[in-house]
Amino acid sequence: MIELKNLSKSFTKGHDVLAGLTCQIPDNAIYGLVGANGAGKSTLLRIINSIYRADKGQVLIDGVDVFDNEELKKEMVFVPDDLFFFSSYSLYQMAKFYQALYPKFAISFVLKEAKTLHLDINQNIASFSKGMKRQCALLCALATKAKYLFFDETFDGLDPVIRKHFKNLLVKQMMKQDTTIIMTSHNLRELEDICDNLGLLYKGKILFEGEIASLKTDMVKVQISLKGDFDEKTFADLDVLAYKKIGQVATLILKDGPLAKKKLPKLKPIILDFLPLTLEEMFVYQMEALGYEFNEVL
Amino acid sequence: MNSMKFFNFKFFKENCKQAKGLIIFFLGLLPLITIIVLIQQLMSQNYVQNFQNYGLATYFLSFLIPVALALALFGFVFKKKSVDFYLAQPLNRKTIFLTNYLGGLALLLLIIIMNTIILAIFGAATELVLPFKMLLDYFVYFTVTYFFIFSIVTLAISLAGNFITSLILSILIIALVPFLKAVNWTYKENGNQIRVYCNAEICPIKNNQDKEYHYLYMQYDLANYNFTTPVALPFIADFRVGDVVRTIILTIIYSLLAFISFTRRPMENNECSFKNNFVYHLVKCLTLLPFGFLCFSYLTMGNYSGWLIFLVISLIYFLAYDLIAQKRIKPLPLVLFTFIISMSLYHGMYALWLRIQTKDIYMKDITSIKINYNDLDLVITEPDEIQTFLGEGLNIDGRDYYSYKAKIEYHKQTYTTHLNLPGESFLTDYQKRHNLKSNVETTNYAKITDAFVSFWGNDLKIKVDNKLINLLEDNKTKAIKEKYNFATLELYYYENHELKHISYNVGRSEELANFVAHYINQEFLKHQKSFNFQFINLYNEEATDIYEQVLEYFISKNPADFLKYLKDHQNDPITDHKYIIAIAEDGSLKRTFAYLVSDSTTLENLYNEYLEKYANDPHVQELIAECQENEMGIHEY
Repeated sequence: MIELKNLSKSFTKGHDVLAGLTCQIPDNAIYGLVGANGAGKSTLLRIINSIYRADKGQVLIDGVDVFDNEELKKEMVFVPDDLFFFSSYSLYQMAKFYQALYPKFAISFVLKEAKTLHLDINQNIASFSKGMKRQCALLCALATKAKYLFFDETFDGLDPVIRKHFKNLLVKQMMKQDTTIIMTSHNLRELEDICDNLGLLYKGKILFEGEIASLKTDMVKVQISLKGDFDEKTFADLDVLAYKKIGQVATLILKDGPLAKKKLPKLKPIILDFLPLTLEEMFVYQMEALGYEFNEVL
Repeated sequence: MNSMKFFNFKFFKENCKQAKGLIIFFLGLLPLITIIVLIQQLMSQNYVQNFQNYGLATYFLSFLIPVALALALFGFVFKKKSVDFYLAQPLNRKTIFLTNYLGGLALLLLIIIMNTIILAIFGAATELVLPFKMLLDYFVYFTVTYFFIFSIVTLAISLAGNFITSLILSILIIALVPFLKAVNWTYKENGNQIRVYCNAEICPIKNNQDKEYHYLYMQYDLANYNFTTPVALPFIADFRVGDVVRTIILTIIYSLLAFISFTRRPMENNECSFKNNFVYHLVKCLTLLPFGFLCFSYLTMGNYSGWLIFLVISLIYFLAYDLIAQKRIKPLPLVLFTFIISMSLYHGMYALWLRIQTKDIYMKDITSIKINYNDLDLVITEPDEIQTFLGEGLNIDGRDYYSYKAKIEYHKQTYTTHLNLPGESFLTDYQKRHNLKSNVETTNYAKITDAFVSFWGNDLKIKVDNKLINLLEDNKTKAIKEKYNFATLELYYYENHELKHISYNVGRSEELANFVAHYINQEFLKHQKSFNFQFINLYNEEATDIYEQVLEYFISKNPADFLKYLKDHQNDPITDHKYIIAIAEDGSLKRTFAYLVSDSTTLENLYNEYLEKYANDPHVQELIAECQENEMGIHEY
């Protein structure tokens, strides 16, 4: 388990990029980190990977401090948003570089996947397109067979087909190798179908986090119409996150879905529809409940 | 302890692979330039005084190679994406630093070793004087220099946020330390202004009544920078153990500082000059030091317009620095304020420095003067002689004078300076007056490593063996006999990190003269077989032109016959002073070789024989007539 304890980091005086961030990332999960530009997502990943030193706080993996720990770093790989390759190196040469440093590196995986993705392993990476470069970086990272994978703006520049392919590869890797993946994006929709957990980073802190599956099960959107007058108080025994009434039809966002499904039919409604919520909607309502304007956060 | 803990060979190998172009370039460049320098050297003369001259290319590249290598290995810290890449690898900062640092040193060592081997090969295969001890000095000196520069640049990279700032910082570290050192304690070691006050009664000033002191050596200013020998100008720098040790200590200090800075470096400090504003301004102000110095020098010369121009140039530089490093000049009042403060401070500092480095030495307190003069090391200790020496130096106005490197002992401290003395005879007279022995008489010849026979403008390398050493040793105190005075032996040995040279006249001994004559003739005959070898002329100090011209004509008609004569007489002992030289040129090497006819009578016989044989030859008759017309007359034998 990755534990982030009270992490703080500032680059200029009086402006904290991370301000006492505390969070726990469970093993064998895909953790999505979302936040607006400049929220501190990349900085957080760099601190976890010992690139930056935190001003305060600690990053622990299974209780051991990660900073500059060579043994732990052998189980970690980081793909930043701005990719770096040695000049005039081919994918094969880059893979050989990684192979020299990662004991479990599987060059056969790179060769096989490069063939699938139609990447010429002997061609200079500098001549590749942005998306192809990203594919090279992701292939090398996955081939390390590291236990902890960190991706910053993971699928940036990839077309939908390749994106899907890599999502499959990530899931496969997680299933096979007991891997923990932490990926950042400012796009919730991108992470929705792959992440198990999500954390929302805002002003240097995790504002909100949780398992997507339970969020989706718990939170429901309901459209309801009752005979006679009714208002928000009618649903006082339910955990209402948001309430809106237009005419005789009210739209409710309820935190406890199963409870709602049990109690609402008892009110004998004229209309009762349980509608699916997108991840973005769930976050919007959570934020609003916490008193934040979602647009400001994301 | 697992070596992987501090040095990751695989990582280094991969790093080298990605910088292989640069590494191969420098590995090839230095030896190539060295070979060119050596070939040039070989074509001009066979020795140089200091190893630095052989390593001229090594010296100049000592600024380029370590800098380029340090940037190739550590330059990743300047780019955010390369920092992400390197730091995310399964290596800690300590391993990254030590792998790159130690690996860089190993590469530099490899370059120096390769170059030393090239020098050694040239020394063995050619006639260049390259004693083993000199090669060792070369190796030590340049290894220390390369390591020193590499450590400084590594430190600068660890501290700075971009390429330009790291270079500026490197220059500052290189330049500031000798500066501080010079101010503190080394001004006494070299030149500077040393004024010797002379009591007017003891030493009356003859030409200039107002002159109350004598600048022994008027070298002002930058001479101080030669105190860090390894980074000094190669023409000034000597191998001084103290300086090498100091440089090694500094290298260790800088490397430790670099290690600490790198492992603690805020890696977000890139693509900018310095993270800390104060450090940025401090470094910028420090770079004004040389500008301050130049401004001040104009001021001391009384050139106020020059001072003003340089002040404006300095300000332009100061503003440009901001534009390059920060892409803006902000805040302008602060920039102007720091400029004024810095320049005022540097002017004050240089004024103080000038005061400190001006040393007044009173003549009466000088206890000795040491002068190296030709084959003599003169040590003058008598007070009267000291006053004569310095007194003469005070009155050289309008006369020819020589400048000698001298060491002056004063209050138990030695000051190296230059002494101006009138004419060479002044020292020769002193030598005679004191019956001083020359270096030829005092040298231990077992130390000799290289010997050349200097004969008719040509230096022939001669093997240094026991026989030669014994001959030199046995005859060193003997007087020169004119009969055998036809050549000198140029002898070399390496001592105290310097190539010592002794000219030994072969005329001191008959046996030595015959030994050398035999060697000269053998060399001549050996080379006559070589490609494009041809006679140029004959020479006899006492013979007439007609004799030479006619003999040359005979030789050209029948060279094989003449060569047979030379071969038959190559071992003749020297019998008289009338020697004849046959000079020939080896076209392929552009070198000349000479043959010594030890017994001129045999050649005279040959001449007469030829004259009789070709008496009816119209050309001979023509030559004789022509010479007679010129009232030369025919030499009668």
